[in-house]
Amino acid sequence: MSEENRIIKDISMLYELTLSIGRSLDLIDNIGLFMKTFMTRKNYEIGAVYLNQNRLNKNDYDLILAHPEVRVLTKKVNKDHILIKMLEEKKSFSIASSEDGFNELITENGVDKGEFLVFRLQNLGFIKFYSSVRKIKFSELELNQMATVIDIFSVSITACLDHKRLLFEARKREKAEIALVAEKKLHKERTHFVSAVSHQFRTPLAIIQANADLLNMVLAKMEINNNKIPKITRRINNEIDRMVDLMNELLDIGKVNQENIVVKNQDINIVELIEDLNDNIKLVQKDGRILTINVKGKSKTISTDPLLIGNAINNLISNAFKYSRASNPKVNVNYLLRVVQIQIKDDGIGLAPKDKKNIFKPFYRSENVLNIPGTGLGLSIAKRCVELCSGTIKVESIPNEWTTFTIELPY
Amino acid sequence: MYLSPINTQDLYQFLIKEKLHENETFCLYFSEKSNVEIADLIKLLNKSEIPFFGAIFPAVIHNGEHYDNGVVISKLKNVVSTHLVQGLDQNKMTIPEFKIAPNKNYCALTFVDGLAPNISLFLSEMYDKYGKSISYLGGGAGSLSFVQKPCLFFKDGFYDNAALIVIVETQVSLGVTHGWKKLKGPLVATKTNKNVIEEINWEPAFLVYQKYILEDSGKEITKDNFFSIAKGYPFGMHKDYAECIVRDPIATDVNNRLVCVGEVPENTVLDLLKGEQSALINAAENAAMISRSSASSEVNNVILIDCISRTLFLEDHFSKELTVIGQELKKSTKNQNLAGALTLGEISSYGNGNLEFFNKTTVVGLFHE
Repeated sequence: MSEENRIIKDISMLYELTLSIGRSLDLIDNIGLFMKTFMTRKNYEIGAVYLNQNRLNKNDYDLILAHPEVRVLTKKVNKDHILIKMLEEKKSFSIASSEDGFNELITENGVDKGEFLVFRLQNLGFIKFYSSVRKIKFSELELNQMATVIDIFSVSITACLDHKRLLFEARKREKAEIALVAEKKLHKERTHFVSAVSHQFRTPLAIIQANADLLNMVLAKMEINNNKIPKITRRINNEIDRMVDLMNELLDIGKVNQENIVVKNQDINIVELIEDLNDNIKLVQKDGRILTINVKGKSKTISTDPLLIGNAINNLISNAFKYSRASNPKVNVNYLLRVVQIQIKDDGIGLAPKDKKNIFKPFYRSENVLNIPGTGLGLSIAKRCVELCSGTIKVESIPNEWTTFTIELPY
Repeated sequence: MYLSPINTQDLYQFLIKEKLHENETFCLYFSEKSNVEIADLIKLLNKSEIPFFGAIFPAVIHNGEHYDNGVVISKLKNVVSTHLVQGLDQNKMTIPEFKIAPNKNYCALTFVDGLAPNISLFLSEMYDKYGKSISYLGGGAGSLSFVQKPCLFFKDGFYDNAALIVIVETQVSLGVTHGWKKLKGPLVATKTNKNVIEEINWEPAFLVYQKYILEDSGKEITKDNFFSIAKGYPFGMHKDYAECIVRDPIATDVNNRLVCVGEVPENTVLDLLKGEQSALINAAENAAMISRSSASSEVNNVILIDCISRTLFLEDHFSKELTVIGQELKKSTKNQNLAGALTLGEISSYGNGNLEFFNKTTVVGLFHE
């Protein structure tokens, strides 16, 4: 064959091999087509691709595809195997059965005389071929010819592996999204149910409360001197107040969790809002403790919904009083560069570390407050209100020492 | 043995009288012009509990003759199991589990519907599962009219788009050659769909094919005279250290595509081949020589699978091909009862490489002790 014809023949073969690469993003299809094309044209009877896919275990190369599968005995090749050592020195090699080292490379059945041809697939692994019929082993020229083709093949394998990973992540995300939609639906139904029930409870509770008050009035009119009955009616009224609080919070959480809730922003002075809240608190706070308010930085108006943010801050201040029996809670308002920071601090019972991550979940109550009346909904409502105002809320605490809730709202 | 045109009942009566020894099975090679109703024959043989399998081919071979009518009957010893793989027209197929002992020799005598797609895929899957643990020999059944219809049968029925695999416990010596030589190349099959070449060198396949045949022979190949000229100009797919794998174009269509027997993968580099009578006949003789050279003298069966298009190309000289095969085998084998078929594609594991679906090729298989 003339030199010209040989070059044309070689280019044709390399063209066919190159175009058998990357026809599919499926790893097995991609490897399979190239491997079988190479085997058919070059007359190799066994082909196998091993890859290191496990990021945690870099020592083993796993068999990904073999043809024919039945002839390949080794499913894993360790990094200490002679074949890997040889590939550390050369990107590819061919070895005939007449040469030393051939027998050490046998990982297939029915192999005696012939030739092994091995190419390193960049940092991914290797491809190995065996032929019993080729009369001479793969020459240096042929190895050089194949170098670029093998590089392209390696890149295509990387693309397939990335594609596989992306598919896996997309499927995982899709599952998570489906679960989230289901969770949202369930939450909506639950909230709707709780709101409906709470609303229905209001009338009978009002009637019970009215009748307890009426009973007191009747007793007073009849001048019956019995100390026990006022105590009982007071207890009834206290429990009714608790139930009304619970109903109100349930209705609040129902409202703030509605998907179509309208946030009515207006420019407000947050310090003034807190002072107004404090005025109301003074009316109900009867143990003599007061709220101290500290302001740092240049005052700025913020655009937010005063009802929602007021609800959140009020809730946190109430808690600060509720869970600190002796000291005065504090509110710090810090005007920072991009946000106004509102810190509600108390020197109270604090939170255990495990409670901090759950504290904003509906109905969650810390173990150390189980003997203090509460619904477990307040912080959940507060968080939702802050988020509706495009703000953030976080908590820091040391058990039995202090707790600080920090709200940040953009200007 | 060969039976000239015969009806179903007469064939059945003949087979009943032709006693089978224990562990023997009838292998029936029917020519497509036979009058036998295969479905009726299956019922009759099943009723009499006579083991059998077979296929319908364009023509059949017995000893030094080929026939386009009648049936060739051979008795196969040590048939272990018979398997059917259906759905070759689908991409997904299930290769059955063969019960084979590790220390014994087996041959998978495999007949496929030669007009079904995915034959190479089927062979690749079978080789993937069994590799060199068994030998493979067989060919494509079907009609020379190229109209697909049922052509494979055994006790369970009569099938198309399928492969029939008969596992025989035997040693087999194979010889596979074709003798076709390169005329023009390389050409690139730039667009293909399984066994259809749509483009060669980025142009409609038939127009390119037509141009090169005109250059060589001065004859203009058309849709009407297609096969009479195309039988002499197949394609070859290169294989290092072996004869190329031949693909036989059997038809063209309105879109100037070429329909072949067997798949041509996209972007395959092809050569246009040309045959010479002497080279083809020498190759057939060579196939016989290769097969007998590795066989013992105790040959049980001689199976010849030869491509129908070789007869169409060699015409009257084809009998010479059969004669030289017979003469070559006579040199060392006692059994001269040669049976076989002229097929639409040939199957063999010769050469230790991948199991291939050949075209325009002669496959000689000797079953021996």
